[in-house]
Amino acid sequence: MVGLAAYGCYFPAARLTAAETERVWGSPIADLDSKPVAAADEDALTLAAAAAATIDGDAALGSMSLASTTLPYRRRVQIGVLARALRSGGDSLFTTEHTTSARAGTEALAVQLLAVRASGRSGMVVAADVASPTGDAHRAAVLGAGAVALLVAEDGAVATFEASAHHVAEDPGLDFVPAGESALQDVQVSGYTQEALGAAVRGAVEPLLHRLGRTPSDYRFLVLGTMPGRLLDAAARGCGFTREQSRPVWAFPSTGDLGAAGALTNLALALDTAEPGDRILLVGYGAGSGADALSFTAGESAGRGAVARALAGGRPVDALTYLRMTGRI
Amino acid sequence: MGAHVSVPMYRRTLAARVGLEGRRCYRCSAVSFPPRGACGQCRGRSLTPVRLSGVGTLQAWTYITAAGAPPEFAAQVRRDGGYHVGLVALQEGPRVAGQLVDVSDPEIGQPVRAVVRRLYEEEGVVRYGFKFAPHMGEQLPAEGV
Amino acid sequence: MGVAVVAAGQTRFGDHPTSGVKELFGAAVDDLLADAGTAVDLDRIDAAFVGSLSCGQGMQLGNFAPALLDDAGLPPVSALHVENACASGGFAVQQAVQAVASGQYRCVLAAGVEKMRDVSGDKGRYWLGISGDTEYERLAGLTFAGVFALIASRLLHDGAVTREDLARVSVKNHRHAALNPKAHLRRRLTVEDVLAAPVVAAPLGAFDCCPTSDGAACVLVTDSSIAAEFTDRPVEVAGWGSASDSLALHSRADFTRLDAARRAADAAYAMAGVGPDGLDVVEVHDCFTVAELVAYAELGLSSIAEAGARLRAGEFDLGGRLPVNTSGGLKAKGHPIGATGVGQIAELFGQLRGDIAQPERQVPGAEVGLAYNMGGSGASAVVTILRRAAD
Repeated sequence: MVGLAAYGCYFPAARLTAAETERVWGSPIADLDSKPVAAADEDALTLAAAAAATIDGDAALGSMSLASTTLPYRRRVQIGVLARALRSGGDSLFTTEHTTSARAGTEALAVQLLAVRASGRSGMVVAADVASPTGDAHRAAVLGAGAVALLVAEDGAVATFEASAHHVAEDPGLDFVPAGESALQDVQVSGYTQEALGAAVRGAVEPLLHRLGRTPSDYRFLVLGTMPGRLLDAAARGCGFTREQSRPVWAFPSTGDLGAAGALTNLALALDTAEPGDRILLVGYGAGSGADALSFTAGESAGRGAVARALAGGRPVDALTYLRMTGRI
Repeated sequence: MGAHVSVPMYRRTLAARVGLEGRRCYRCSAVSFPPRGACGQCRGRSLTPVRLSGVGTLQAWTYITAAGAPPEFAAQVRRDGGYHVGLVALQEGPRVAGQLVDVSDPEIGQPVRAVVRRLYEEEGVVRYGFKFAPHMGEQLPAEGV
Repeated sequence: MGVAVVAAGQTRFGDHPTSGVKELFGAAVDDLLADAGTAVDLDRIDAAFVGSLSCGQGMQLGNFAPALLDDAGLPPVSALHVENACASGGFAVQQAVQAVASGQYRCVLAAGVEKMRDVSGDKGRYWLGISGDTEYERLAGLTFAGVFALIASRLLHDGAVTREDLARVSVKNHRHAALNPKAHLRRRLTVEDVLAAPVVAAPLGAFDCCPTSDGAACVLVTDSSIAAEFTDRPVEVAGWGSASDSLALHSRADFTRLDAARRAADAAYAMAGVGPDGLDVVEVHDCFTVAELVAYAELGLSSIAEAGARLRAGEFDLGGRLPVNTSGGLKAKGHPIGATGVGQIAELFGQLRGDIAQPERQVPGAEVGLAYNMGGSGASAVVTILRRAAD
């Protein structure tokens, strides 16, 4: 059965803590305990390379997909440096790059599941995002940095893939960057934001449950993105899931918003804690809007602690250092 | 001022810089890295590519202060300040210089491993390459100079 | 066939804001002509070798040596630009010596010139980096200070030298430069001053590093048989040698050694028929303090382990057993790249003739002197041994 054979994460060592945020800006950011901050010599591609490097072996990859909304270039093929770092590449590596929304992570995973099923060769998904130095300060405050890599194979010892369903709709004004600009914008109408998110998630989850003949209670975990807790709870509730199914697999408090890497990092957290046979429903959401729902069953050899291991050993930085590191001063 | 290392020149070294590809001598089996035209040990010119582990031991280090950094590293020091540079003896034998990341107090003899980072950006082109981070894995035997 | 140095000239090393390379070169030639102990007819020059890295924006790169000769009004003879980074000057001298030794020419000018202080700090750092291993050391963010700091780091770690030993090199060379009106940095320093200076590349601080200087130097090299036509006290070129090494430290068998210097010195000693014990005065390439300590070992003046103690005991001071860098060295006399190696020969020429104008700087009765000039971090090295000609 096609599924996940290995996974790993990487987070930059520097951390901005809630205590430091509160000391300098007067109040902490809701739900955020600490977030990784990328060094000046890190970007989405180096984070991706570091996550991919946690996956052992010179597995002969047939395909690789990269997901990120903060790649260093708007136009050019960029996955080549990853292929170089993994010593893959050449004529026979099929690659895709997914860059336009936080849904990019599940887009990449869906493509790799298809590619592996079609080719019989292993595929890798790497999702990475890094807080962009431009953009509005309120949004930037929750942006973290990190990457996750998943090895997709015909024999998914970590988790087997069951089925997926997808949804797309026209929801303008949410979380967008116009062509030629760099700052993230949003109409900032909270009711609208929440409704569009709920509708998209429901739009992907309900047909999937229907097709599999399941109800939300058949799942141990609902894996969503690294969105603020208020939105996470609303999205879960909207499709009949509970906080108990979504909050334990929500990395946001220790990572901040990881953008395109958010849902897959949360999936890594679910794989870290799942028992064999546990069902996991993964939902990737991108504002604008689209959603992918993918159903997995945990296998015998889930990694146990990959996220915690990658988060261990952080180095707190003060606010001034944080502002300098992120290029604001 | 023009580029310090041209883009085509940088590209020719990508296999080594990002893929850690060295060269093994047919005659004496010694590994050279960075790749050379002739074996660093016996000067034999028949060489074949070999992938290195990137794991090694720190043999010497310095800390380049912000004021002393070459101009192409100005953007890095503006954001992260000065940086450490080390000489690393790779476990396959050769030695190479590289920046040290995620270390505040390097120690000669400590194990390190290669990671891919941005070296600098010039002409709008990001130059990626290996740097060295502390290696938490098995201890390597200490090596002399 | 014997080869002699019959005249020498040098500008002050340091800031020359109103002079370019041509003016500096011309000033060194004027200084050579002004020496009362020599009588030089420049029209007798058969050939010229000019050492320079030619760093800087807008510099004449092509046909560098002909441009200088022409501007200075020298005869339009064969002229060649010699480049081996910071050893360019020493190699220019060696080319001149070999040209005379070969019998092709009888009177050859060796010169060196560098204009470094026209450029901004950033551009200066750019130019200084291009003689190291540009593909790997430079892309690791290393400067020359960084490369020598790696050597120092290992020597300190191994207990071969102490931080104070490094500082004492600087203190000694500044003390010598304070006596030399042609030196760039004439301020005396204490060990405490050196240790308290801002770090450039740990463990090296600002006072462990030589300055960037403007300057020029030239020497006239002739067949010994005609030397008397220029001066009654020629200095014989007794031996010379040169060698190369890997540019990058990481490619060397032992990265704390400067092996090219050792091989160049061995060749020069063998040719001259003298060893380290036969020397009376030495000029070494001390671009960074640690480089002078390593030079003692490569030239056979002291083991690395004993270098600190010997330095502390004053053995290498003016008045000591074997004065080293009586000019102030690169550290304090200054380091106008291409001029440095030629300036070393000019210093020895003065010392061996007993012509040093400042009595406290003159090594009394000096007969044999050695100059060691190095390119980059030791990828090229040239050693020249001079001997006062028998009366």
